[in-house]
Amino acid sequence: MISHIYHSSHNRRGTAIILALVFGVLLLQFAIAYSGLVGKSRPQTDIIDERVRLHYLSTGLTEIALLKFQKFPADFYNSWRFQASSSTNLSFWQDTTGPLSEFSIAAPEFIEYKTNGFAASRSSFNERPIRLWLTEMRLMTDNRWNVEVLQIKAHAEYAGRTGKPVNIDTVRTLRTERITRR
Amino acid sequence: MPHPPAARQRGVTLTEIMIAMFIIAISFMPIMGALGTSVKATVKEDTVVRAMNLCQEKLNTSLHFPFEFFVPNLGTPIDVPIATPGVSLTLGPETIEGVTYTSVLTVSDRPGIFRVPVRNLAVGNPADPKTWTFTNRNVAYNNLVHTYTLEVSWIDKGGTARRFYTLVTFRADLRS
Repeated sequence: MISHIYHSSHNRRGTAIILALVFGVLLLQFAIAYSGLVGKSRPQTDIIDERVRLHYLSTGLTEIALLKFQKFPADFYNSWRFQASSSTNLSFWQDTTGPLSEFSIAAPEFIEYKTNGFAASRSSFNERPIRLWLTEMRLMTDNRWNVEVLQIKAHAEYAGRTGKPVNIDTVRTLRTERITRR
Repeated sequence: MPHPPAARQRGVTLTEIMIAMFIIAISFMPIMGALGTSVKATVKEDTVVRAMNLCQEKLNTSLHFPFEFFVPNLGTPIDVPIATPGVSLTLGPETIEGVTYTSVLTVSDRPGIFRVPVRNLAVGNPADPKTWTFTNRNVAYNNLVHTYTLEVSWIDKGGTARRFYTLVTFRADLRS
């Protein structure tokens, strides 16, 4: 009987160490996984910063486009009518040639920062220039309701910390009233 | 003479427990390290997030001032509180939770040239837009678009280097 008890306790010897080792290995795996997760996750400042920065610049560009429309409405409408009647593209406002594009998406004042970017919007932890350009300036007309709406869209993007492009589209929509002088 | 089995069992268990605890303690160290790094990074970023919020809030407020308000100050950095009967904006230094943030607003003119395709009225049928032709005209403008630059700078607690955060936007004179 004594011999039996002795053998039994002898078999259990080292169980705690084995359990601790298994537990330890699991904890190490958890630590490695957690470290990987922390490494991959972006700081919250980056996420807030890039959205805010891009938003302000692209909104600013739509403001300039709206000013141009205010100053030269007849030229915009003429360009629009010409493009609508002569283009084979259903989304003719996205044509890259013709007077409408010269007025909007291809105008030098709206693509000034498309290639080299705008560098003045920066901080001590973010020096990356932002590429900025106008992507759309179109009328959304509904004759049934006699409503005409101008939609201006600007795009801003930059290479994020990981090199992936981060971008934002700002859309500005406003109702317009066309007055024809005869 | 062999030891009694019960006594031997107790002694080994204590050693085992100590070794086991040591192994577990060692295993916890990388986890604590990772957590510590994460917490430190969060605390450090807190001041940056606050600066961002301040910058955004102040830029929004500055955009509520009438367009013509900043004309006398074009290009001159403003670092003192400003106000109109409708809007007020706190600029300059302000201390929040032990960190002093300094806000400076610069409003500068952004002259430019609009490219305007102008229809040649003498050419084509007025009723048929397909026959119309256009000539590009460049129209220069001044004092119609302003660049708003708001910079918030600060020094972290225990730090020496000045950090800054800048937001920029454009504002056009859309009064007409």
